[in-house]
Amino acid sequence: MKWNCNPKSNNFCKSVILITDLTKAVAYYVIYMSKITNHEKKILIIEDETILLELFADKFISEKFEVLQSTTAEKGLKLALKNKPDLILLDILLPKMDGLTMLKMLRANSWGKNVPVIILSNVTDQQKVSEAMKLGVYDYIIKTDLILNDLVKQVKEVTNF
Amino acid sequence: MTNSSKFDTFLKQFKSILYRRRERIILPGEEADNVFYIEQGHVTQSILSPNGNQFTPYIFAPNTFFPSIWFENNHLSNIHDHEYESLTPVEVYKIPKGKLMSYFRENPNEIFIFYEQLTVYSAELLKKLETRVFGDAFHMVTLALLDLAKLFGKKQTKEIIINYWFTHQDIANISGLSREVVTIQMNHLMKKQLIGYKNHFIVINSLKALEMELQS
Repeated sequence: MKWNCNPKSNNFCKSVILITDLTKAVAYYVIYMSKITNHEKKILIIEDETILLELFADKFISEKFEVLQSTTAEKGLKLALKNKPDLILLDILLPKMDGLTMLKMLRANSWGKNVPVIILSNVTDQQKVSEAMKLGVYDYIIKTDLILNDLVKQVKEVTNF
Repeated sequence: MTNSSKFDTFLKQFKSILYRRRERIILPGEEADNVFYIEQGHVTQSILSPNGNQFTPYIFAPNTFFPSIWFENNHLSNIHDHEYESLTPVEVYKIPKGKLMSYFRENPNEIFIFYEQLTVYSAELLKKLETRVFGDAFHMVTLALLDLAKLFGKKQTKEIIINYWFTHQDIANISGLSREVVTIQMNHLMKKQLIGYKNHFIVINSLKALEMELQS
């Protein structure tokens, strides 16, 4: 038997429609909230040593980060401006364009001037790190002293807004 | 670089040292043989209680010396009582105390570089002490935010953006509170629309209103 529901003439029918709409709204809200709370933090790693790049990427992926990767500053800059990651790990010594030049270009961009950057450096890069600090960096890391779990902890702390 | 080219030349004979953020530069109990001059970044001075509580009475800005009291004096101990830690990545010059003393003796006018800093230091210390003694957690967090606004604030049209990526843990370290307490107080300030977040940075919507909260 087919039930004809006319909300204009039937109050019961009107209530059923209202409840259905409310249920739909609640469901949409739950989906929306779960999307917000489960939002993966996006990081970009720019490192020319592929072994190191993969090591970082695997670790951050296992920690539920969305990871963008680049072995050059040029591609890294493009990826950054297009995808707007929550943080950038930037090697200072890169082929062609170095990390410092890329950082300068990033900081000249209206979005890029605010993104936290952690510099990946070697012991001998003191002068370059000092210059990078003038452009505004969240921190720098000496690769030989790196403890991956500490880096993950630090990245989680600064991206947790 | 300072306003004095003579002092800049003096500094250049020392090698600059870099520290990562939250790296300890001076530990309590260490001999106070050196004075540090900050070229870049910020350094906190902290007091650690025997039960592990931390209180940060002062944040040193670029172009200042730390520790603040370093003159050779019979009444002062040559051992550091406080901890000095980098709040951001820093670049410092480590100057042997004797060499700095000789420099100021040879160039007495230059002592004003240091004297100016000492005046600010004393005033800030008193304000911190007042809040610590008479205020509660809300006041401590408010004061920490005002300090950060003064040191890192960039004025926009209406608001002030704190131009470094400070976490609740950083504010907890500065205010001597736990991270959880800071989060509660920050949420309280956000509900009052006194602060907010914009592109990773803490934003102070009205500096005047925040200062008034400190007096309440």
